[in-house]
Amino acid sequence: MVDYAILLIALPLFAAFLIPLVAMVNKNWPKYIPILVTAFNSVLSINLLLYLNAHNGTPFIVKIGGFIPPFGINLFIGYLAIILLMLISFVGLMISLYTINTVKDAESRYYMLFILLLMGVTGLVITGDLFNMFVFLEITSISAYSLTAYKRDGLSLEASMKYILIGSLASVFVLIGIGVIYYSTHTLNIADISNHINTVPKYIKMFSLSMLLIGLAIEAELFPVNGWVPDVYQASPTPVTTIFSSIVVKATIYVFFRVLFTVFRADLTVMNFVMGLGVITLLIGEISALKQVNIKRMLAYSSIGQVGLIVIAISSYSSMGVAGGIYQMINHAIFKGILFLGTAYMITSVSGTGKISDLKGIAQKMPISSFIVSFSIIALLGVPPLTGFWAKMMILSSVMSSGHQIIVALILFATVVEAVYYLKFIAVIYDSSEITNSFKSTIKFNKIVPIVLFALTIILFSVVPQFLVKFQDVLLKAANELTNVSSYISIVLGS
Amino acid sequence: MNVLRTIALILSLGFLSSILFYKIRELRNLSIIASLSVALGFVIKFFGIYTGIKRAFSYKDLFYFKFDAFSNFFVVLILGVGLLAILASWNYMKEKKGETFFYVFFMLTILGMVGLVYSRDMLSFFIGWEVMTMGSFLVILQSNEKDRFKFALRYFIISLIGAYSLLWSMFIIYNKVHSFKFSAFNSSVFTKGELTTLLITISIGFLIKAAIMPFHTWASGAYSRSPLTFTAFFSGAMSKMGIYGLFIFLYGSIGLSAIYKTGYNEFFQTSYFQYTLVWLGVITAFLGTLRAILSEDIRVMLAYSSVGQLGYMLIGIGLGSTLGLTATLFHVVTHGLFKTSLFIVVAAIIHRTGKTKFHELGGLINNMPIAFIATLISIITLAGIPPLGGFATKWLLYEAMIEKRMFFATAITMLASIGAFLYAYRLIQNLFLGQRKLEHDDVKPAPLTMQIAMLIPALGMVFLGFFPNLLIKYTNLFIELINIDFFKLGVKVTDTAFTNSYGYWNAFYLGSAVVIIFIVSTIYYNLQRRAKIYKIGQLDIYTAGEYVTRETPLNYSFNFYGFIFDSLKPAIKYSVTNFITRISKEFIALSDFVRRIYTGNGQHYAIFTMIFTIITLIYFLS
Repeated sequence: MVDYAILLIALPLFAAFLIPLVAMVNKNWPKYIPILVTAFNSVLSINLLLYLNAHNGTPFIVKIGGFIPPFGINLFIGYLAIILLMLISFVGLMISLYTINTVKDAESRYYMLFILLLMGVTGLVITGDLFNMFVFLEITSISAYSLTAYKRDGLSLEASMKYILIGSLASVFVLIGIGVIYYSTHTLNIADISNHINTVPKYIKMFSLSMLLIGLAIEAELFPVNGWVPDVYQASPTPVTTIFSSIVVKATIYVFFRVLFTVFRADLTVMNFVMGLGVITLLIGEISALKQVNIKRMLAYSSIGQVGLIVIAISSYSSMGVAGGIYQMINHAIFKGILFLGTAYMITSVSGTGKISDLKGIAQKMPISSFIVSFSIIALLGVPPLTGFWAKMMILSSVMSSGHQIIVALILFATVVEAVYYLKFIAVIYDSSEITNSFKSTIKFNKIVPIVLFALTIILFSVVPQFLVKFQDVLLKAANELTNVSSYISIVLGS
Repeated sequence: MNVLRTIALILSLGFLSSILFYKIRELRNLSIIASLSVALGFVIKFFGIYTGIKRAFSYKDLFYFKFDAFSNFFVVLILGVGLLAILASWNYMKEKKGETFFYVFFMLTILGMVGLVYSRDMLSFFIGWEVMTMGSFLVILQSNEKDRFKFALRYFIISLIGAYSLLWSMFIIYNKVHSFKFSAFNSSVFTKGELTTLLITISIGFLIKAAIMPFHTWASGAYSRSPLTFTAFFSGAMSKMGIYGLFIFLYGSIGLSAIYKTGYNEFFQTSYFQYTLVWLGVITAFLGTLRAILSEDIRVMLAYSSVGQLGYMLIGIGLGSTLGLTATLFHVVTHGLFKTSLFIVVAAIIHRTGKTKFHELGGLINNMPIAFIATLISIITLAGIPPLGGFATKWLLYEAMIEKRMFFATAITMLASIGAFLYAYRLIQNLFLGQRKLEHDDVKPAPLTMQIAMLIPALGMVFLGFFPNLLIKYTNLFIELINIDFFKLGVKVTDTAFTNSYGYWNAFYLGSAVVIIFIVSTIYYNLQRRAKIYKIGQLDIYTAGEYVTRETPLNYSFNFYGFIFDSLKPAIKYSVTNFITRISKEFIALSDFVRRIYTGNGQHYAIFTMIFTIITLIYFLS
């Protein structure tokens, strides 16, 4: 049996509370614990993948405490959950590697919050219970607030304050939504709610849908409720920003659509609304990024834009579109991993406040990181035959086949805008004039390795077509897990 | 063994060796040259010889490739020009900053281009297209010009807009016919409006690559800022990809009858869409030539000359008749030859002197005799003077236009080719003849590989001048595949001439006559010279009783066509480039405005949330 899947959540939780004790023994040990935890989770998720492959790819549930689903909390694990789990643990592992020696005066509580954040996100993607989902959302958010403020300078405290303000609004909305739904269906299990959702009066259903949509839209960084994003991304320590952009937002998008698709069995009117949100988010994000001078802020806006793209893809509701959205989630996690970590590595080598112009001509001193960053930018722009292109193809073809020709044109337009500011960035780092900025030559192995590993992942996804075709099947199955409500219910509740 | 796989393998090996040996100059260059020439030989050898070879290749029902006259015509051009450009780069790029990566990205560009030309489905076509654009963008970045990035970025962004216009159309087609294959296109599932939209969006993609006005704004910058040996390839082979794309999409996939469905004009016997294309071509030929006349920089002049020449090719495509298409294909080859040669000559001159302006140069004929001969042959071809190949193009093109009763357009095109005389003349007058600058006394002749690379196209041009019918025999094969009114108005080929319904052009007799006259007059001149030797030096002039020295500027080359410039001054300030610059500035201003939505004030964000809540509730509860 696969009851050990609960360790995905339990072990990080245990490790997080173990950290203060370990720190008492030796101050240097806590920084290795995240590596161990994420490595363990990586192995565990690969193990689950093998298990799933051995069982024809049918998703399975894990009953916590042996309670049968409508009464107890269950975990729902299929290809989608495993893709996200692998993403979380892999990116988490890379970031943990990078974090060593990065966060100045890192204390044990930094690592504790870090692991808690990862744990919250892991819980989000596998839980099958609506209230449990809320709990994990809160764990994620609260550790995120604290990590944002970790530097304790003016910028980060202000950003954290804004984040708390908007984040608590989100919690309230989500809680109201869940409360209303619990009141009318008397259950919190997602599958069970979905079973009874059609008996709920339409007004109540739509009200609670709106509440959950607003609350989760805040967490999923959709326009116009993503005001906190640029500030938080800019002010957090870079590893944390990377986690926000690569992992947290992906998990919240997953939750957003799980609630819409499965809990509410959303129809086309809802999906068109969400697609509209996605388009606006994409355009505003990319256009805002055009004139940014701060690297992290530029990447934050780009992140917002990519979120818009993923949301457009998934809200197209066709299996190809959802698969493309999931593919883009993976791609974006990897690209943004490289971009945030790579640029942060460059910034630490020069003096300055993280402006793009500080990195002028850095490629002469740091050829490897510059090359990898440029490579991932090119892949992000969707230049064939790199991996970004295939995801974009899937998304565009499905959006086109759902009849939104204008939206396809807008996506392409946004990509052109994206190309402008990213290529300008490449121009700056490959500037061949003399470097005026002072440069500290520090080759740090633990910073190069994650970037190189990320780049290898891009190549793996790009140049092995055989792998790609199999991978597409997996993506389609994962998309099916998200959109097919009846199979979800029958798997959780039994036939 | 599959031909296509072999070619792909050979070229990929060349690409890999350019990466592996990127620091070892001789090994890298030799292996690239070997790979290109083996591939070229392979294409030429297997074209039309074996019938037993499997010629098509498909992968997972997604990618289709085919080895036929349609593709090989352009592949030979790509590989040939690429080979010459790489050969010339051996000396030109030597010891320069971007040398190592220049070859890697150059090979990438060639790979992409060969891939797109052999592809028979839109998806692999698009992949090849993007690889080509990306590769050429990266090559431009390897030059040493200070402002290279600005122009490279402009080129890439405009190309990206074109590519996405193409991608959008691809998806529209895929959505209706559920296949990316060119042959799967079925015009009956589209309405008239959809077909028109498709034609426009597809053409925009290709017109941008071919730098047809008003989409030419990237061309002068990108051509002049690339490493110049790459520009030879860029202008000589890569700009033709736009022409190839129009060919295969308009006539190979969508088809003439579908184009006629969008609106047919009885008088001109063509569709309104094609009529527009012809006029775009005419305007480009005219204005491109005008811009070339007014340019003071040699590279910019040649760039605008390329823009103008691509206009001629577009005219032929727009006409859509056998004559027009033959003219276009013929011009693809002649332009490929003379632009390659000219750009390599200019590269050699700039390499040796470091000067890029006309008025900074002069009198180089004694220093670079080979370059002079190559230039002379090239500009005779460019200007379309018989007996060389350029004349055949013009002859075919004018006839094709008159056939479609576009008399006014023909007149403007003729005016444009007179303009071509004007700017082509400057290459001889201001570079090779006239007074040599003092500091250029010791200029060495062009490096050996560059001399080879500029002479081979020149020989090709002479050959084409004598035997244009051989090339037309080949283009007939090409057009047969597209099958447009081929048997009605075909160009027939005999041993020494080619004939169409209006007359015939026997280049061989005329060429022989010119050669005989040339030989006779040379002998006569030499006999005369032996009789009385009387040499006049450049300084043997006594103007107003003043004694002139080498320092005195004797011939004028600055602002050469100033009188044209002065008369056109009020019109020149309205250019598309300025318009596009204006638009991009406005857009950046807009982005600055949008950026301010994120005020940085938490209270504002809370208000946004409230507004969003109200909107959502209204949307869902009403």
